[in-house]
Amino acid sequence: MNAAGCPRSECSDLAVVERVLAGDVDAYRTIVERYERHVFRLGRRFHKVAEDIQDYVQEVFLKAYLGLSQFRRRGRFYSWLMRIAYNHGMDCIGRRSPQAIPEEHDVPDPRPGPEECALRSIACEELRRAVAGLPAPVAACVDLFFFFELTYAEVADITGLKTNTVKSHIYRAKKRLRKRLSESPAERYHDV
Amino acid sequence: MTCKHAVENILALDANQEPDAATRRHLEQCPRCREEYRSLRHVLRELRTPPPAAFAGAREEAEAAEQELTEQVMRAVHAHANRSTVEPPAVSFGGHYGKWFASGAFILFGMLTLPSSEVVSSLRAISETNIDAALAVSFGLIVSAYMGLFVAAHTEDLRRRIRRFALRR
Repeated sequence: MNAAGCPRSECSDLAVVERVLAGDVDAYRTIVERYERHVFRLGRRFHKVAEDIQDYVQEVFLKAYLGLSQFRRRGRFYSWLMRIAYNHGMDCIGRRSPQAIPEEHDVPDPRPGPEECALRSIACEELRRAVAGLPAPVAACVDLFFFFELTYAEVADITGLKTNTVKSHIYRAKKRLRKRLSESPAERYHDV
Repeated sequence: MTCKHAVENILALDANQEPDAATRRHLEQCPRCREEYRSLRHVLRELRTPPPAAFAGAREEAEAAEQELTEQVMRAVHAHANRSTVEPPAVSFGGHYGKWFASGAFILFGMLTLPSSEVVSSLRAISETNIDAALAVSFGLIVSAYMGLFVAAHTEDLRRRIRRFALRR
């Protein structure tokens, strides 16, 4: 059971939002716990210092909490939150280009095994190459799709690009990724 | 369906989208494309799994940092929630209301000066209809719109003030 009073996996974002809007502030903890890592990860595109990223996370969740009544129930809460996070990040850096796909290994990940680390490393490297030299919104669309589980339409909504433009950039990035992975030793770990 | 088409369809898939029926049939028959599909899904899933929100390497440290960050966020949220329930943000007459009063005064000034202006006087001279009645209706509409917007923008604050006034009496 979580702060929202239901098993974490069964409690939808919408149900949590309804509870928060009804005055149950503690229910918001479920949202924070669920998406903290995602927002933190996006924060690394805008800030380099750990304390700055933590402040950024706090500001994003506070902003989302304050604007919760404006969340339209039709869309996905996650993409709404990520839009707030992305725009807040852009405001923080004064609309300069964010750092697209930073070195994931700067932050050692204690969770996965060495195979997943190798696979992630190769994939990140290839995606970094794929977006190198591209304009910021295009690089951001590849970043948001591959790392933040957003759909084409959601990425288009956040970056302001057309959905077909987003699709074609992601298609090209996937093609590069596929080619690179087929050449790499990490290929043998595809045992899912 | 050829392998080339199947791979193109796989690469065009949206996040969490499943292949269409024709591609699925091809995947069932073609081990190579099936492997391609599984590989890509695996990589995408791996990339989308966010690492713990910490800079430290040890698992315990990472989890503790994450927990601390959650608490930090919740403290900020609670602080704000308490502030807005116990002490609602006051709307000052000099600040926020001042803009409304200034625009209201501007409208009032226009309403008072327009009937005696040269333009209206000349219109009055050439027009056969009662122009003053038309002006009065227009002014009435403008005042109604202004009042409506004012009430809509300050419903909460006005309600709070009325409640306080009623309690005092």
